Amino acid sequence: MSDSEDEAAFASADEGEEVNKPALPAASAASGKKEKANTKGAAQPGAGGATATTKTSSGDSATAGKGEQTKKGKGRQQQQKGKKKGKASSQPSPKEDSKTESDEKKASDVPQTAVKQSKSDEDVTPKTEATEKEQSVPQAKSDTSKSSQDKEKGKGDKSAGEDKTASKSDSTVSPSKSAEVVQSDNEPGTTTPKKERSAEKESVDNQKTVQAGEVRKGLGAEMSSPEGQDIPRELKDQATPKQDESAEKSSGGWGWGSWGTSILSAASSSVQTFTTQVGDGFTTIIDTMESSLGVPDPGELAQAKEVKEPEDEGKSASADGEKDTHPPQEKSSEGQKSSAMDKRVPDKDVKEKSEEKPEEQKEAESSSGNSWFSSWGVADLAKKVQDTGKTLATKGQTLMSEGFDAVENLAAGGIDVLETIGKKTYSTLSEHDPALRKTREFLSPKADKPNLSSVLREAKDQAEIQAEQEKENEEARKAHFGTLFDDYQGIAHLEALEMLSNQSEKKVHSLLNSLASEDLTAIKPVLIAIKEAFEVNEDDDDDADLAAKDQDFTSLVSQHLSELELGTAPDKLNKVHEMVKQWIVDFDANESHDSESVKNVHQRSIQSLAELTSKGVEQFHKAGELVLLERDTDKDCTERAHSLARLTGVLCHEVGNMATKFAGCLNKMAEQEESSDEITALVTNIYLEASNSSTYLQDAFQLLLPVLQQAALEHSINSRHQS
Amino acid sequence: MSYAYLFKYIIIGDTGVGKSCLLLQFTDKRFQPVHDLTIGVEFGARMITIDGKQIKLQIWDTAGQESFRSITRSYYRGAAGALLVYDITRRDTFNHLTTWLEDARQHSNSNMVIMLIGNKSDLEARREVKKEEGEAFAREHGLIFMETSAKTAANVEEAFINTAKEIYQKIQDGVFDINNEANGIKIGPQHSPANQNMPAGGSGGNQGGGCC
Repeated sequence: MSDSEDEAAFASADEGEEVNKPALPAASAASGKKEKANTKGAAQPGAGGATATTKTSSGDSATAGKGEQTKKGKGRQQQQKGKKKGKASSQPSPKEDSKTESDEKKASDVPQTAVKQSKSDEDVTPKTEATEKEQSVPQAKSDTSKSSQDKEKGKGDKSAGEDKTASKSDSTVSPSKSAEVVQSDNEPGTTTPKKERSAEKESVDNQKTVQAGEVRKGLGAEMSSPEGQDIPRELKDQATPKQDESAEKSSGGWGWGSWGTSILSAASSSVQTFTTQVGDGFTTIIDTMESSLGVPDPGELAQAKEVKEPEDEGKSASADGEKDTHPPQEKSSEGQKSSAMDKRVPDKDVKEKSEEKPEEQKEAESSSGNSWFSSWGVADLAKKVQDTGKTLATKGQTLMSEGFDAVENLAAGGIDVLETIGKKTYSTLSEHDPALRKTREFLSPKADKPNLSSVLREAKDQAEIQAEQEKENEEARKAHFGTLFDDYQGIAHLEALEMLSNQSEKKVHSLLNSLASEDLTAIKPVLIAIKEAFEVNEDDDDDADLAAKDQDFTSLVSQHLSELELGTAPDKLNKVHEMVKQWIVDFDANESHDSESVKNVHQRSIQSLAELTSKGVEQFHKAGELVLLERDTDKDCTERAHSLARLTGVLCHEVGNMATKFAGCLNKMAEQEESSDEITALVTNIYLEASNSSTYLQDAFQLLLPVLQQAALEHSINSRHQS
Repeated sequence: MSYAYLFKYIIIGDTGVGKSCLLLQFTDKRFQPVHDLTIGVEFGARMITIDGKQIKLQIWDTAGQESFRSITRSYYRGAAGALLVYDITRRDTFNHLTTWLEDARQHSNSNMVIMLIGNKSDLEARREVKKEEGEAFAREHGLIFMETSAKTAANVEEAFINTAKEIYQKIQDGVFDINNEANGIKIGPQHSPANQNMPAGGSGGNQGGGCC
């Protein structure tokens, strides 16, 4: 999650929190009510059952349920508003659960007045409960209470979040801190990903996985229709979008009521099973939690339900309720850890179910939406529903309210437990993590958050690197053959020579086209001879006998140039050659090469190669120009071609010689210095550039072919005209 | 050094008007009273700054001799700017301007910026061509005009730089297609692979540049 999102989440969570506040009374009312039930169950085992038995008949329950729904509807709407504000609602499952839960609970303490009464109690009861629990729980808390687990718990359990929000009002714990923990839960948009994340974490943590698996297995065994439990965990991820979808639909589904009636009838049966399942799941959770945390015996609670449930609809839930009492007790030893897992598990179960029966859920949602509608006073709609006379619909409604009751029960029972856990968690966490800094960092990774100082530092580093690079480039430039070759105008000469060559080539073609056939036959051998002169050179045959031998460069060059009879003197070439020669002599004379660094020698060698090559290319360029200029001379072009070929050979050989000499210099230095690796690289570079240099010279030479051919053609044409 | 653009210039005009001296003055800031006859073409290069951009001027100094005309014509191609030089002390060099201009216009691209230069302005006593004549000729043919002295370096810098400014302006106006090298403009190798091909100075890179 990016930071901006994170912040947004924080913001919206704050918002949601505030919005939740108005909803708190309702929630706490429920909790108060449940508390009552709990305490009742705890204090007077028989009384719980008694209350349950006093439960209203089915006829009553319809009206009572309605009335309660109206009240709950408000609370729920508020809740939902809060959710909406938080972004998109993401917890249709808890909602669903709350419905079913309340359904079940309603049986035990239906009367609306009781709820109101308990509301007044609420401020007192939770606190006492909390203290009670603090005494009973410690073993669980002192257990391990891994921070990650706690976090997970916080994330995974929506009800925990609600609970904490509720507890926030009266708890002395720094509000902002607890709010923070709650945020992740309250913020619907982030709930799903976080759940997923926790799932991931779970998979990472084997221990946790095992526990979760155990719990889930236990639940699965208890479930009346266990198909849902077998769904691989990965599917949860797939389930979540669906959940969201359905949640969205439900949030937008207030209007569904208009046509919800038809769906209602179809759905009610499935809703019933679903509700039962959910209810069962929650019963299990409550029991597990309460037992593991030392909450008043859940068995009694279950019994109370048991009593009314078969009566009511003959659901199989009661049996489950009884069964539920066993595994939790087994797990109670696992303490907080397992309880944390337990709390998270129901969510998943519900999710799995919702994944399994998304349609059902949607239907249930819509039907619930409908019921909310009617309870909100949309009389005709309600009437319609009733007028259809479908008892199923009524049943569905009853189920809904029962489910809601159950959730309220869960919430109430869980709220205090969770509050205690939350408090303890916080204190445990903050013991090792003052101000929860690490936790916060963990929850909201700031890894990719751009911060000014780091940006500035980065920019500074970059500038430094760039400056260094430029400096390096400048350094490299001094030893870069191509650049130096350009500096010595070698490239310009080559370019000019190329232009000249292209022009000559065009001219040759046009001349050949204009020639009569007998003239063409006459000139053809000459052109072929010139071409052959240019081809021979490529074999470097001249080099063969001169190889590794120090040649008299100056005299050879002068000789070949004079053979050209173009009136050009190899002044520049000779000058460069002399310079290089002198430098190498000086280098050899100097025994301690302290004055010369390896880098300097390398630079010098590349520079010399580039200069010599440039001058060589220039020589070829000039030769080309002069050949064209002095086309009237009787000098045989084939001879010129051979002379030029020999010149190329001499130049290329000289380049090789120079490279060898410079490499020798460097190798001498390598003997004295340790950085032989560097020197090897430099020597390689010298030889590479020497081959580059030869290529340039060869290219320049080859560019002269059309020039000489043009000269030969024009000469033959001229002489023909003259004769 | 890296540059943003490279402009190719050609210097044309009768032999002995001081083309090579102008180039030497511009590139080396020195004057050589006796200069070898230019064979074909010689080259010079210098970096200038226009509008904060480094521009490399690659100057082709052509031979003015009539015999070289056929060769030098082939070098006109791909020039972004031309310095058409005459000698204010020799009227014939001024009279030949039309031929040079025709040649230049014929063998180069139509957008080429041409600067008319009346050189040897230091030799006021021997002046044969009035400044006004030069101005009139420039106005008539749409050239920029300037009197320079390669000897005293008067206006030499300006002649080259003003031409570059004109070219630069044409680039800004979109007249020149800088991607077409036939226009005599190349984009600098600032971020071209050429730099990366350079062997790293310290490590003694083993990569050679240059083409084949």
